[in-house]
Amino acid sequence: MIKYFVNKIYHFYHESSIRAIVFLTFTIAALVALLMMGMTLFWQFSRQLSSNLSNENQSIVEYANRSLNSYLSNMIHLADSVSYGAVRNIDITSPDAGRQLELLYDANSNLIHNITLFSPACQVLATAPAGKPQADLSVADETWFTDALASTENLHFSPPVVEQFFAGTGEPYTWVIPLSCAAEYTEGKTSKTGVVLINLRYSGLADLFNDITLSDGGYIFLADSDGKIIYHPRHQLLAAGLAEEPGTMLAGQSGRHSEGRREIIIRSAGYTGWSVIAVIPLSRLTFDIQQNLLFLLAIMLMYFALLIWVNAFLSEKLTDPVKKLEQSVLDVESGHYPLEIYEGGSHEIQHLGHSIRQMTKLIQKQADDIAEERIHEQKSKLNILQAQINPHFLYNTLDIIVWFIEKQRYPEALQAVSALGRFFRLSLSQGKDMIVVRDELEHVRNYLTIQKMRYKNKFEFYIDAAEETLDKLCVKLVLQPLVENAIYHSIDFMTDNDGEIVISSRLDGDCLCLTVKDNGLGIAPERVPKLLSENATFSKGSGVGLKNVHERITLYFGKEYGVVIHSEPDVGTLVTIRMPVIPGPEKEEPR
Amino acid sequence: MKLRSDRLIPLYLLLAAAVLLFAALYQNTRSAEPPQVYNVSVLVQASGDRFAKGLEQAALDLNVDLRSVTSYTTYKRTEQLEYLRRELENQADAVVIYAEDSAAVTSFLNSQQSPVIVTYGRPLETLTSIHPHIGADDMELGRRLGEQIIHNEASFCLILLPLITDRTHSRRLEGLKAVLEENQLPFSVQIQETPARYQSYTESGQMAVAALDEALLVPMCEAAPQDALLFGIGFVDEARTSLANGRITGLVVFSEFEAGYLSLKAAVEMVKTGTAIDQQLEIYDVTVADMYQEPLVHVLFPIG
Repeated sequence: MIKYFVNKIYHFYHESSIRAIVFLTFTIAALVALLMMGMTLFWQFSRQLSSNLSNENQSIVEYANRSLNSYLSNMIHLADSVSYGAVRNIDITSPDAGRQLELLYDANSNLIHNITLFSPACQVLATAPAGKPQADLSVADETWFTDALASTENLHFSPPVVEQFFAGTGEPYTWVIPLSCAAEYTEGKTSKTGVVLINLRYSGLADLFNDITLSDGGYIFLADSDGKIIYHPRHQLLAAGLAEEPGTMLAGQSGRHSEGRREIIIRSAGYTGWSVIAVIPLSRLTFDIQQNLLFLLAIMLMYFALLIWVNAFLSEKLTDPVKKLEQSVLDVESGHYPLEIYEGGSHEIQHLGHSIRQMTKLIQKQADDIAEERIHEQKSKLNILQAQINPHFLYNTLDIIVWFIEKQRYPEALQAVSALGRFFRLSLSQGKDMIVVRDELEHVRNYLTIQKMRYKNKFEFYIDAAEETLDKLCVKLVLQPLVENAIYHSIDFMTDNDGEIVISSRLDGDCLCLTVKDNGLGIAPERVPKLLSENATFSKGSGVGLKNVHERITLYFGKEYGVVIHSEPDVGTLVTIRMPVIPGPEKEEPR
Repeated sequence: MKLRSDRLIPLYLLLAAAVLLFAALYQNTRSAEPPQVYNVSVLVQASGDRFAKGLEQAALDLNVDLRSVTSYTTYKRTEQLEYLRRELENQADAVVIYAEDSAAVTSFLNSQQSPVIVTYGRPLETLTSIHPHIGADDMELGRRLGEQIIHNEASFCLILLPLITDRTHSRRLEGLKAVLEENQLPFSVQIQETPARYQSYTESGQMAVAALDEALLVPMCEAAPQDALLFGIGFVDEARTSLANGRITGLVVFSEFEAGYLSLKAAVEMVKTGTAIDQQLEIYDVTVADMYQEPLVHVLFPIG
């Protein structure tokens, strides 16, 4: 399953646009950050709220505990007053035995139901307010009585009971909290230890807690160390079984406890061992998720919508320059060179655009150069071809041929026609740029044959070719222009008919040398360098030119090859063509 | 212009957020509304404040605006009908009633349009509208009383009935008689007797006197011979001393606090959901030995 999802993500990444990837990445990252931040803040907020509420409730419980302690302290002081102040001074036999008790009762009647002094034999010795005890009253088995006698130095608070010892008190029934202690009294001259019972009004204790309110639904109750409830706002319902209070199990365990969905705070009251127990529903201590869930969801959706909008805007802004650049590149790929390569966006995209623009310019220039070169090449070829079919040479040669025919000098006419035909065939050479030296020499021989006829044997020519050079390749039509120059610029100006043109070919290392030597007028030394650099303009001749030959050779083979001119005025001129040795084809093509 | 999906999705989300927000505001408005208060009238004349304490606790727990009419003059049957009419006219949501005159109350209620009534103590068996009833099983009360009498080895039982009896008393009597007959204990059923008349029964040996109505407890204690074993159904505060000093041998009681609480609870449930939930109260045997012990001390003397 994991591998499946990984593959899906991988394919998505590679098949999706950069904008989609950026948008989704931004959105997912922001959403995760938003959720994590939200959850962290929510958790922190809930915790803080819970803590604040809990602390507040704890303060209330502390207050309740202080109130209870104050109440108990007052009751203890009262008990001490009764025991040590009133009872100790009582002589039971005196008529005013109960007067002190009456005074104390009157001063505290809102809190006390009655005060009674019992003898060790369970007889009622004094009581306030005055009342008639039940006829068959027996307190000997009462816990408050036995505890008081057993532990004479302590006060004993007992769980609430219905007051049952006195009839005719004027109230149907009263719940009281017995407070008992041992007390010394005097009977005649005898000092005895009896039991003082102070029945505290339950309502007095209940009033301490009735006005205390905790977080909505919380309440405080009072239990003794055995978990028996002393006070509970729903005491009667608990007794009737119409409600439950599991918090009593924690009585005596001071501190904070969690029990299911409730928090329980317990404080111990002094002296009595009673516990003030506060019960707070936990749902009230936390941010109520259920109640606020719809609101939270609405806020989250709004944030999410805003997030998507922002991310869509950002991803578009970020990736738009990339897309424009991509479009420019697509145009370049398809061959539509745009007028402008996009150079916008971030610094990197601008740099990319600039670089791509430079590249396209370079490519365009190179393409233009190549095209220009091809055009130039084509022109050169055309020039050569055109030059090869120089009409003047042709006309002149045809004139000679016609003259020969008119003069019925048919062998010379035939020789001339044959030489002309071979000359032009070799000139074309089926469009080749390179031919074997043999053919090049044949070409120039035919040219010289014709020219010799024209110039009425004003010169002689010799062709001296090394055997090993005949099958080597050379650039086509390189000798004829040199021979033409020798005839037109040197031999033609000689007055005697001893002109001589020698053509030779030899190997010089890895170099093929073709030379044209004449014994003509020579060339002034200052003119020699210019012959290869100035534009070739020909007043007569075949028109290819010395410069053209040199350029063609250097174009083919490089600047270390080409034409070298040695000339001495009135002596003659030697023109050497240097080319690399290139073996010719194994099989000669038929001419 | 067609919107792109990254424009549409936020729009949909905002729409959903708006819907949720509206729902949240509506929910908050509803939760901020104060809880519903139920207007319930109680026409029950009970002795003591046990029943009233149950009503008060239930009113606190269930948000009930309680109107209690618990005391009548001599003509309580007529007065109760008048109170009942008035409370229903005053748009009381429900009425808890211990019918003084079952027939008259039933007849009146049957003429009303779907009143929400909870009966306590005396059932209104011919009442056509569905209503919950709160009370103890009268026949069981009688049986338990009979068992106490048998347990105390009485040799004769004088059964006291009030002047005006109803089905409650007849069922209690039926239960008591069944036990006495099962144990072959002779008995006599009389209307409340004078002290002089009691003497005629003393020759039967250890006499037991059984009051089938709590109103008869105090007169029974006053009139019956000192050596008679006194028993009764129900409890009144005035009989507390007699029970405490052993004058009354035993009582069969139910918790009036529970009765009050459950009556109001049934009334509110009826108003809220229309569901009538009868509640049968638990029956307790009380003697002097345990009247101040739990759980009886809370039954006889509800705290609060």
